[in-house]
Amino acid sequence: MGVKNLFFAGVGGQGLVLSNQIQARAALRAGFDVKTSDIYGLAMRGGSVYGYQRFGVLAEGGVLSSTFPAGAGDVLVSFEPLEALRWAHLMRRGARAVVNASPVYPSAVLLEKAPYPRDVVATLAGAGLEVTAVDAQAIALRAGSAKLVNVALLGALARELPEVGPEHVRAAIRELVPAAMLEANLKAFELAYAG
Amino acid sequence: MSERQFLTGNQAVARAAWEAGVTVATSYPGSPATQLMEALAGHPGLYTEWSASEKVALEVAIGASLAGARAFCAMKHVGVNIASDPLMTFAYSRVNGGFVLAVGDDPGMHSSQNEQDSRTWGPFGFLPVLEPGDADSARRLTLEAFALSERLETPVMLRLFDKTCHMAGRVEVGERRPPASRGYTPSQADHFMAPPYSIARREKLEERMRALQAWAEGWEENRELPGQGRLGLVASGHLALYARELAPGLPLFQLASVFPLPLERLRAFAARHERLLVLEELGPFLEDRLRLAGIACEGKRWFPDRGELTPELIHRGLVQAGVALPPLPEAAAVPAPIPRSPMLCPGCPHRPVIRILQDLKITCHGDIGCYLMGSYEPFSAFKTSISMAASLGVAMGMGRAQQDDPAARPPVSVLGDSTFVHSGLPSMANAAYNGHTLKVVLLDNQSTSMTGCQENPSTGKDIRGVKHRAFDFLGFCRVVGMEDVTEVDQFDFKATKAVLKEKLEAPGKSAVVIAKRPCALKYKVREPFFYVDPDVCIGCRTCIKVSCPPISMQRYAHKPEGKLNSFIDETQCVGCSVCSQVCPVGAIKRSTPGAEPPVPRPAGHERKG
Repeated sequence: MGVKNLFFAGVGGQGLVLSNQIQARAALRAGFDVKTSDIYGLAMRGGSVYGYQRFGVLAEGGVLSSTFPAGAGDVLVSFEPLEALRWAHLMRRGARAVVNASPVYPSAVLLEKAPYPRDVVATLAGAGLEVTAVDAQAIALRAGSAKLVNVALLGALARELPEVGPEHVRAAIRELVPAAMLEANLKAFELAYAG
Repeated sequence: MSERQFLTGNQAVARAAWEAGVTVATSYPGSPATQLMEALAGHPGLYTEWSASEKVALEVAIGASLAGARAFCAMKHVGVNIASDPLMTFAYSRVNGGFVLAVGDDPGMHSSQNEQDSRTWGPFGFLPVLEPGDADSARRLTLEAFALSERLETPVMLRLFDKTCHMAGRVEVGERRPPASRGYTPSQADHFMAPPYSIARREKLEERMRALQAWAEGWEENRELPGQGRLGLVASGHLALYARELAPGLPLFQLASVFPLPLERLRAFAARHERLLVLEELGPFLEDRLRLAGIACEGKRWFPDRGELTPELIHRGLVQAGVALPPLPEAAAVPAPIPRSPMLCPGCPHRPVIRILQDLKITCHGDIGCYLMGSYEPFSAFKTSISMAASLGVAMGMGRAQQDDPAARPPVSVLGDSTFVHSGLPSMANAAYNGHTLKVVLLDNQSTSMTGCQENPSTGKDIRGVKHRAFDFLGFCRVVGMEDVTEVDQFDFKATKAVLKEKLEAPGKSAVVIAKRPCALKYKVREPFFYVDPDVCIGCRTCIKVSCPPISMQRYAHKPEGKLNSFIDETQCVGCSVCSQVCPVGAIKRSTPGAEPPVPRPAGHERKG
């Protein structure tokens, strides 16, 4: 199968690093070699944040580098529409994109210095991506908290990654999410996975 | 049987330090190395601390090493600047318990003020510098670093990158070596670093460097990976992994010690190839050292000497240098979108102070912390930012340079609690001693927030959350000679504005104003949210100018032809009230828990859930 290249894009504070870690543990549980690379630091404060994930078959040599070049991405998971546009160039033509439909306005939009882009899904599709728009915020609120957007997106992503399998994502959620929030997280995952 | 865990580079180094039997470990938080000490503090059987600064951290670790314990210290690259005072001299001494300093470099300045190259400390301070490429090698190299440190009685630097600290992968882990102190035998000849002892120790360094050179030649982690072709590549760390993936057939000398280099093996490798290509991030450190040794090579001719080397840049450089590679895949083409800069969080206590300072039009010097966002749109409150607590010294110097200018007002220094303790204490003493007129705004949010809300002297809690003694900022400022010290609650906007105006504008008189509200992120502040009544709002945008993520201008469905009015996204608002206080018409009101605000919503912002 070669190495599968995922890219997580979002805004600081959306729980992107945890999503990448849960997805990585799921791929590990499915028997793959996995490497991830996240951005931390200043970008946490509402800035643009991102993470790479690569998984591949150990017997085929596993994964060497934790990042991949532009054009090599297979799946883009974007927590926010504008961030999907920012990182779409990392994807190959025909790559899948799972995009949360709720915008988070950057300061230039809040200050009315730039318009928020229109028709993000159409722009991504025009660039050759197969886009699934997810109302992850609505799913998260149904599951109990706006903070569950990250796990809702993992539910939508699980539909794109049959080689990993939802049972491993559920197990990874149980492994990494604190007990008090576990039930709501699993609910957000199931609601999004059901589509 | 070996066990594998999925760890970040930071966690892998922490795991290795624990396995190596470290009993004292110190750090000052700084990206990308912050999580290293957080991970280590989660291991049992050792002492860890957030020190007040990197210099103190290094000195505490030095003391532990001298006493015979294995000691570990971690910091970001710029932290080594302040720690270099003890480091450069400690390197002269005879190390007792194994001593490893892990340093996180940040090419591309993802979260740093510069991108200095920590390898240069190697030849500058006679220190070996080891560089892992991923989490698994980070563990192996850390273990080797401790063994090497004790065998050759030297401090060892472990050079990490944001790309090694923040990557995660499968790591083989082992058992903890039972901590065993080597014991302490006082010896001025080895540890009292002043002449004549330091002169004698300087001679010993020659012997140590020869031994290190021999070690580098023989160390199996410096390895040659054979391939085909007339061009041989030299690379270290994560770049070697990138190269192996992009150009799998290329002969590669993969370095794990970047100082000293295994020069004789590299010479032999060069001799077997027509051309030697050096792949390295930042300046031509390896390239220069190879040339000095008489080994012809090419490097910065093909690869940039600044910023992060991405796989695309490496591919382009290799192709331009003549390596036959398949082209990179065609990328999806989309127009470049508008940038997204970091913003102060909803409810951030820095926001009202920055807004007021901007309105007062005083020259303010900024510092290192979240409040540096007071210089990003729409703010431009801070005119300078140099290094930890530099706002104090810079203000003193600027004040002196402008003292004969009748139009000049004393500049203001604005800094946070952790930064103040880190490097501001001597500056405050200097101000009093030399009679400077110093105006200070101390943003005491009881958190080291920029790096992820660590404890610090302001909270009085240590890295494990145990309460000792909180730093008394007000008392300190008074004791050091500041007579006019005032505390304010900056969520009372008008009162804070009046205090700042009075204290900061008064000529010829030093003043310290301490803003006491805690970090909204660390302390999870969440009060009932505010909402805008669009029928009261006049669309003046005063609330927008406090630059809070939930507040935007929107068109309301019931006012399709009218002007835009502001709107607060209640999922983001934490109820700090600052926007409601700056609103000139009282259009922003606090919600009642459990009740829907009695106002219409803008089109496209219907309530969800």
